[in-house]
This record gives sequence, structure tokens and C-alpha cells, in this order.
Amino acid sequence: MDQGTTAAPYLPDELVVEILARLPAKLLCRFKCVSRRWRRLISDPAHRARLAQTLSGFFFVSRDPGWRFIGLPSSVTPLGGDGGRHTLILAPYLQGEGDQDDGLMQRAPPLALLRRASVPSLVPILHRLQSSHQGVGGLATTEAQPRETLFIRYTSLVCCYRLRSGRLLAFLCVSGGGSLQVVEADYMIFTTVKEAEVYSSETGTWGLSECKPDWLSFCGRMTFFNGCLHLPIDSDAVLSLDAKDKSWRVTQSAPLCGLLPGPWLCRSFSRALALCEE
Amino acid sequence: MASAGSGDEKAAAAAMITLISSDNEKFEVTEATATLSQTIRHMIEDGCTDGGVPLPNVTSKILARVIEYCKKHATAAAGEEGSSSSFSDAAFLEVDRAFLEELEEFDDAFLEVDRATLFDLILAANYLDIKGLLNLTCQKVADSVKGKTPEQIREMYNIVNDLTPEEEAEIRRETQWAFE
Repeated sequence: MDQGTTAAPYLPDELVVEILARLPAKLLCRFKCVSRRWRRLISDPAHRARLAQTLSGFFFVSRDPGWRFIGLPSSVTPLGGDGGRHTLILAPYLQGEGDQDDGLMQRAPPLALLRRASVPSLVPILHRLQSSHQGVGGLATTEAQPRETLFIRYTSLVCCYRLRSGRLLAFLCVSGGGSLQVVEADYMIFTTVKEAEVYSSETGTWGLSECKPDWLSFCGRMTFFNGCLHLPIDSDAVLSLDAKDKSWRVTQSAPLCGLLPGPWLCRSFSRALALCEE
Repeated sequence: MASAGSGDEKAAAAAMITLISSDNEKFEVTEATATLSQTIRHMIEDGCTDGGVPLPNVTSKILARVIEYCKKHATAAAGEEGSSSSFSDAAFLEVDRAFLEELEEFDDAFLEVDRATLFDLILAANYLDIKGLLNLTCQKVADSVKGKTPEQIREMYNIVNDLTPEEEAEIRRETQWAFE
């Protein structure tokens, strides 16, 4: 009768799971904050086989087998939060990468991204791996133009950086609508950052921001995360540039072991990760 | 149509089963209809359906709907068996397609109920172990929550948010991408 006032009959856990099993992974994550019961049902390992999977971790490329996946523990304070503790997860960068196929597939939900950077031309070839309902689905390819700055919409805010150090660096970012999320650019030799330009979709303009502290050099892969562009710099620290107010910040981290190629910062769900060579 | 008749010529010879709802209403159905429920099928196999099958978890209102569903889908199953020998393949496929479309229309119309009834149907389908009905009703609920926010879900199903603001903030931070 009156749907608004009729209390929905109580469904036992098994039947709520029966319904949850018909929902995609993204909705399941969102619905964790409906109530404690929903959070418990969605998080319960006993139901994992039935529910759409939300892998936490990232893919990377190795010779044999072609792809591997590192699962990660959950709940790490994200970089660029409210100035609190910053944690980076260090995962060993496994052996076996070839010179040409050097790369990392990153899980930027709902996609896994595979990067191929052929040094030194920095031509990123992005393999887009669509995650299907229960796992990993087909493979699509997009080829970015070399030495062009690309930007794609990121919900309301577009973030796009041009880092000036004699050469243009591309930072690809993000779209709404469940397609590409975040793509990092990487640089295989130490490069000095002098200034950065940030494009804002709100004003439609590029704003220049001088790097403070000045003349920091970075190496490896940068990533966009929590509204900031993060770059690994050469003293176990991460340099962050805020997209909105264009402020710079240096965050000390756990030692980012290994120098060449530099640490790779990447993002998985709401965490920043660093990959290093052992 | 909803009343439990026994006019089906083909099934006339088949045994009739009496189902008794929680409010003591009796429904007489064919065995073909009743055995869409695995629960009842097992009872028939065990020979304990004499004197009717009491279903203390199902009200007459819901049982009538469930029987309506079972009758339609039992006819569908019987139709498939019966027609395969008497039609040529092409004709059979044609009939088959028309029938499936009709069945789909029936299912859509069947699901035009309020939320409380839908939940009762899920409970009954689960208790009676009717796979098709359980799938149909659960899918209907799943479809209805797609594109909704957690707040809308709580409102739709009268769920009290017992997470602390801190807990909720943490979930949102951890699963930030799911809210984008």
C-alpha cells in the first residue's frame, strides 16, 4: 500500500547476500556505509566468492607469466590527507621486466592499467583492461600522443600538469563516467622540477606555480592522488603539488630504496603506493 | 485465474496436491505446478503430502501469488516437453520464442508489487526453494537499488544507519573511487 510508511520485512542475511550478489563491485563498496550490517555482509570473506570482487592491489608485467597481481592489505592513511601521518606501502619490484616492455599495470578501479614506456621517448601506450563483474575482462588499447599534454575530465575538476624542466612531461589524468581514471607519467632519469602549470577546469586557464622549495629533482613515476600530484624526489621523500591552491609540500616517507630507475609512485584505490627495485 | 482451479486437461490425470497457507486457506494445485518448489518436490518424493502440505511461513495472499507464478512457469515447462515432438523445428522455435516473450511479460507484470510484497515473495521463494522466483525477485530488488546513494537505500528500506560518523568517513575514504 503506502510504500513510504510500510516497514520492509526483515530479510535474513543469506537473502540480503542473494541480492548483493547481483550488484556490481562499485555499488557494493558504496553500500558499505548503509549500515553496520551491510558493511559486515559485504566485507565478510565467506561471501567473497559470491559477490563482485573489488581487488585491492595492482597488476604488473613480468615475463612469465605475463601478468601478475600483488594484493595489498587494506587501510593505509592516504597521502595528501589532512596533514596527518603519511604511509607508503613498499612492494618489491619483481625481476623479469624486459627493456621494451618495462611497465606496470596499475589497478585504478574499475580499470587495470598497463603502462609501457619506451625510454627515452616517453611514449606511453596504455592498455586498458576493463574489469568485468567478477574479475578481469577484455583488453583495449589507447595510444597517447608522444610529448603531448593530455587531459581528460576528472569529475568537476580537471587536473593537468606540465612540469617544466627543459622538456615537457605529460601527466594524464582521469575521466568521469567509469572510463579511464588515473594514468601516471614517469621519468627514468633524475629531472629537476622548476615550476609546474596546472590547468583548472573551473577557470579554464593554466596557472603557473614555481616549485618551492626550488630546484628539487625527482625520478621515477609521479601520480595524482587526493587532489595532489605526487613526485618521488631523491631524499626518501615525496613532493606534492596541490591542484587547487598550487601549493608545494615535501613529505618524508619510509626510505624509498633503490635509485635507478627511481621509485614508482602509483595509486590503488585510495592509497599511494611506491614500487622500488630491490 | 488466481483461484486454484483444476481445468488443465492434460494435468487432470496427474495427482493434485493441497497446499495450506499460514492462515489455513487451502489451495489445490497440480503436481507439476507444486514441484516447481524443490521443498514440496522432496515432500512428494517422501510421500508425506497426504492431507495437504502445511506452509506455516506463507500467508494466503503470498501463496496465491506464488501459485500464480508456478502455474505459468509449469505450463511453460510442460509446453516445451509436449511441443517438441509435434512441431517441425522451425515452427517449434517460433512457438518457443512467442512463449518466452509471453513469459517475460508475465514476469514483468508479476513484479508490479509494493516493496513489502516483494520481500514476502523473496522469503516465500527461499522457503519453498523455487529458484526461478527467487532469482526474479532478488534481481528486481537489485535493479531497484542501482544508481542509488547509501542515504536513499536507508530511506527506501527503513534501515537505521548505526555507523558512527567516523566509521562512515573511513569507509568513504577507503572506497572513495566508488563515490566518484
